[in-house]
Amino acid sequence: MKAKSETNLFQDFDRWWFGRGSPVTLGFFRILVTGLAFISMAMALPDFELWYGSRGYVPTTLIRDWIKVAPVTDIGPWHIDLSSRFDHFPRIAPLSAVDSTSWTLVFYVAVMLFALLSCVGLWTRISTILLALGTVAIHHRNPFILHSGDTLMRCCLIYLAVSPSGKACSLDRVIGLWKGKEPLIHVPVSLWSQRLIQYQTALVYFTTVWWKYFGTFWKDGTATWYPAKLHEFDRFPMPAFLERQPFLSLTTYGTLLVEFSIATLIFYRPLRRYVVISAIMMHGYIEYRFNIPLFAFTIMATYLCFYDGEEIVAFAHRLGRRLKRKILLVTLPVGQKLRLGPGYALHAMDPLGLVKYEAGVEPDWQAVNNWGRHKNPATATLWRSLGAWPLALVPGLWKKLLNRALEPAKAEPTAQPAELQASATKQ
Amino acid sequence: MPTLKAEDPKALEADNGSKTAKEPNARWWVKVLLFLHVVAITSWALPKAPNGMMNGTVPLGVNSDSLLYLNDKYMKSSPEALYVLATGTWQSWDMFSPNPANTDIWCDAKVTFRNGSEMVYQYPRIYNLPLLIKYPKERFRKFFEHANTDERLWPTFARTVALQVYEDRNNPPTKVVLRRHFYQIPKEKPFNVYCFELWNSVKARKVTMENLLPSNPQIPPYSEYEYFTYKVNQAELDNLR
Repeated sequence: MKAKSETNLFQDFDRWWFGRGSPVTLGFFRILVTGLAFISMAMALPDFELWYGSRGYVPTTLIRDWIKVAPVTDIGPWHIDLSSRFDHFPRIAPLSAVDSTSWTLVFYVAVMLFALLSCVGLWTRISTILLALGTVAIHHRNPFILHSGDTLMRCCLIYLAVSPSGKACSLDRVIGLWKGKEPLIHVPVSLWSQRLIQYQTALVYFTTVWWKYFGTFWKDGTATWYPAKLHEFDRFPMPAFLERQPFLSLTTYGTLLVEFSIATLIFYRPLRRYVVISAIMMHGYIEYRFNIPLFAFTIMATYLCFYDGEEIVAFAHRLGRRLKRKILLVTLPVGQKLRLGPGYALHAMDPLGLVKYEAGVEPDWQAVNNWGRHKNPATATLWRSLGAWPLALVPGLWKKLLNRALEPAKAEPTAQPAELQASATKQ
Repeated sequence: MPTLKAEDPKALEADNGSKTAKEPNARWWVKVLLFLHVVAITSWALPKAPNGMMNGTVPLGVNSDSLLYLNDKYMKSSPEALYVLATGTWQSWDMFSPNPANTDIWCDAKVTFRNGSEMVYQYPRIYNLPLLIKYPKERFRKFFEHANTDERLWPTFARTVALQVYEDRNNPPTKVVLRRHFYQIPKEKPFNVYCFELWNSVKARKVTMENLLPSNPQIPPYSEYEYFTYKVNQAELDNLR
């Protein structure tokens, strides 16, 4: 009996870590984190020479010394010294060997491009891998300007590089659907990379609470007084009474409680929503009060990974139903219908379900909103199809795609829903 | 009128369990690597053991401090270090801990030129920057956090300051003095003291606004300290310019 329960526990653990599910969460998380990575790099670009240049604060000669970790290690009682064979342990730090600021800049801009490609989900697998490697290289080029948000972002990018994040919310998927190579239903993927991000988030909070356990200010209820007086962190003001007792104790102990909850209680589904709301409130306050760029957004993005893909999809549908007044009825040119693959792609690009395509009797595309007003079909459909927003970067592309999605209708004016579903199930 | 939209989008997103039920959920080597990775990042992120434990003044026991000591002594010096440092998965989550910083600090530099004139170079101070500029410039604060204490950074920090003010070839900078401006944040009233004083005032029936919402301690003015003097290497500066 005992052995059986142990086996079940092991199986549950195995199923939790490695079970399959929708990749939508990973896809959505990829958009957020790689978007933040792009913004973070863009923010450092105006001061590029100072941070990464040969004339800057941290020249490569300095960094070559920094990355050198003596090749000495212990395995249990055995001491292994490889100093005679190796100068130092290897690291992903190719920029430490590049003295040219121009080449470093080329590398940096290329990594920004990979961030953009990863964000829109184009060639996702390779672009996320190159983004992760590039970010590690940039962080190893100048580690003196990194804060916790950068560290978390780097870890998340590494996890995205080994995850099937391009299987959802990506142009890769839209292209696959368009060409008829992808099923409309998301093929379930092993979710270990999503679990790893969950674990990473819990680790952040668990260890930070443990670190704080050694501090006196966190115990005596005065810790939040000090950051409030570090003027270099000042952003927006707070009412003065909130920085006096007993509110200081409230925010100090409240911080510890919320952080510990995210490390532990967030895994318990009935409490998850309350933990996430309190964590968002805490980080919202920090983001408002203190100038700590992108940290709050990065850590809040990781909360998404505590939700299954199916839950995210259901949320999108609920949101779409709430926005039903924004629904757009689009009628196709007379005698035309949507091809099956492109039809799937248009459906996938509209996660909120705000656009309905129907057979039309006019010679051209028509779009009518909820109040019966005529709209520009290309602009109105693009605005409502969230997944198509990256396509707006190329003027005229969306309109061209809409036209290319058409084919002459023969017996039936448009594809029937039942036909769509049957086809999707077959695939 | 028929539409292209699926009637039940939820059904389209449903888990297609039948197709994948027979496939393994992950290969064995993925599981092994994942296990090792989780062990490595957890060990690396754990706090340092208390000083007493590291000095040997506090004996080992069955407690969390001993666990941290063993982690520091055996795990962090093991090949785990090679893994986390090489791959970029190194991490430490000691934000505002063990205690938040209690010194407000910023810096500038006093530059002396060949003709004897002096100027003060203003290193970007986040507090003085406009709201929208503060956000992208925060890295200056972070860099100074290191450049304040890490002596390896002082010469290149000062050299870059010299480069930034080097405009006239006939009157180059000859000396850069890095200065920190700081004040120690005075201690606030601990919660237990606050409660004790409030309770006493309630007992004495003399509750005042000061008892309920005590005022903060007075913030002292900034002090100034010259912490590094850099004699400019003219040839090196000309070469970099």
